[in-house]
Amino acid sequence: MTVLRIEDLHTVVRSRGRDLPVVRGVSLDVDAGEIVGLVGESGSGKSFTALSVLGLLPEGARVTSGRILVDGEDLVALRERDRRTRRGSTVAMIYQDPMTALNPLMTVGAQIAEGLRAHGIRGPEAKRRTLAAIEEVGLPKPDRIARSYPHRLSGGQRQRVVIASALALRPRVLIADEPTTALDVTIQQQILALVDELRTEHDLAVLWITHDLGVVARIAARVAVMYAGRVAEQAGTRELFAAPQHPYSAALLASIPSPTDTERGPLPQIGGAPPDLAALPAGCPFEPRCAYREDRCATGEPEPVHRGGSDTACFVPRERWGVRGDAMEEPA
Amino acid sequence: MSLRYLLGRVAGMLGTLVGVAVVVFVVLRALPGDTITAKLGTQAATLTADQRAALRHFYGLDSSPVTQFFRWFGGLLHGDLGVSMDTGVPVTHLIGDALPVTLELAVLAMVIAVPVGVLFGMLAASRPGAVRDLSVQGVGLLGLAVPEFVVATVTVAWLASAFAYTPSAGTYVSIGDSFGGNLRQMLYPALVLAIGLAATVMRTTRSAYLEAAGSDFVRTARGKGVTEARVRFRHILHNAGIPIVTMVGIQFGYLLGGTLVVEQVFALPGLGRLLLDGILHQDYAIVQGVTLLVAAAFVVVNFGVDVVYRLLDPRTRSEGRRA
Repeated sequence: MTVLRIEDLHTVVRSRGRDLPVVRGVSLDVDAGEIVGLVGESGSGKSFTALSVLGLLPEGARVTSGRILVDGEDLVALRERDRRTRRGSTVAMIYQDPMTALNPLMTVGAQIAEGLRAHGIRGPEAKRRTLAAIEEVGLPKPDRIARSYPHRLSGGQRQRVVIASALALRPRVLIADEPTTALDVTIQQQILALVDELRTEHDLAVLWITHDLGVVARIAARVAVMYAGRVAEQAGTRELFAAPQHPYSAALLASIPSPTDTERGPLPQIGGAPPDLAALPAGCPFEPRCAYREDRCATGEPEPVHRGGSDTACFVPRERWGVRGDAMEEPA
Repeated sequence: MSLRYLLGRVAGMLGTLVGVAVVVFVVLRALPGDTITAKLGTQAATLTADQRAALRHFYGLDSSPVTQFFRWFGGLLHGDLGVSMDTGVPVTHLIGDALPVTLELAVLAMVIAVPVGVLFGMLAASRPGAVRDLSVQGVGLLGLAVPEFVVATVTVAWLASAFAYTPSAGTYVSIGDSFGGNLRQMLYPALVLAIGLAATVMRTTRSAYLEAAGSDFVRTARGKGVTEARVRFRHILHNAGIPIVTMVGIQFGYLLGGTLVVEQVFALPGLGRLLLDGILHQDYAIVQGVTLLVAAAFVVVNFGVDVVYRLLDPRTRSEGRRA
């Protein structure tokens, strides 16, 4: 069952009197109990997509068109007052850096309870649910944790608190903004396992934002690869890793170092830089960096087509790639 | 707050005050002239050597500076600040009369300036670069730039011409005598002091608020669905509190010794006036006593600020263990 449906979302950021398109027609579905990886490099629009869903765009940014449906309700159409009441209760978010995501001057219990109170849960009920939320994320002695200030907790503990706070109101959608990036590898694995477990338990729809394809492979059932504000390719994780249908996905996959590579050559890189959003090319935004580009790529922007188990926004089918050699350029 | 920390702090505070006592004493002695010339003016030149020696003996100026210092310092330990050489009144009495005036002025000015400064600082920071920000900042800059003596004089002149009200005429009415009468005398000087203070507090609040507003935890709070008002006060302002409290503390300490100009213009018998008279008459005991008092006030206010830090920020508290 589809819980989160993003339909043709467009988001712009006002910059020097102009609206820069940061999200350009993103469509994405996340089912209950499903984790969808949203992959892309900095500036690809993945964070703006997430913040649009949460309704927490920074000053100067706004959704210009499209719909964000959660259980059929369009969040974009809501007034800000109603939007606030959906935050935390319908859509919740966990963040990249657990060291800064918590208010240093409030006990973690107070911070979790604050979210509950903002949605009308007060008194002993708020306290009970705060402790239950802490317990649920596997932290020992919940009452002691609740009375602690963030600086008394380790990074992993804090991230668990952030997760507890996000899930305390049983939201339908969880947006995870690279929640493992700032953590030690062993802690990363624990947090991945925890989110995975809670997702199953609560039938959560999880949108997992990351630039780390390794994390995606570990946790996500499906992946959407973003480039220059659009979804370049959307596919099942298995299908994407086996046979990427977009040259950009292929290039991303090729730049993951493989531990089985015995010959340590230089790691392939994608030449060039992502396009300037203020001056997008007329054609496919990846065309200038693409090894498989054809003439028409420079003139028209491809719409997503279903091909080889993927939805890919590319004119050139995978079968035609090989002739032009490797997608990658050797680093200079 | 551990006992050990408290003892350390108190020792440090006392050390500072001893240092201040020494410096004030030495600096005063290093100035040319003495209380006799200051008191007698040109007539001092007609004194015979014997007369001068007798006077010096009378004022205790004939003993060595070291002896004088320890005599004064010994008195300090008993709470005796010496006697005004000019009037013969004990300095503790003079300060006892003047301190409440200045203290009231300072407190009143703070009570007006802090809420105004904080609220306008928040208003300015809520939309940096917008009209409200620029106007608040512009007015604030004006408040800082115009000197107190100008504002004070203009206020007095304006009150007199517009309302035929002269706050600086007549004798000082203490709170004990008449609350209303006292407030009528104190309100305008306090307002004058509050202008510069509010501007300072506003600027500090604005920058501290902006910095705190950019923190990740603010986004976390909004992401939980917390109301905007609560985000602003509970999360942003609270985290901006430390620089604001520091600034307010410094300003308050400064006010206790720095209301001189306003006291002079509004003819209020406060510490500033007392100090000024002391300096004009080279009345060592008064200058030493007031300076020491102001230094003590600074030290105590600083300590108070540290205590407030600990209340505001759990990271500065040492107790407790890792969970």
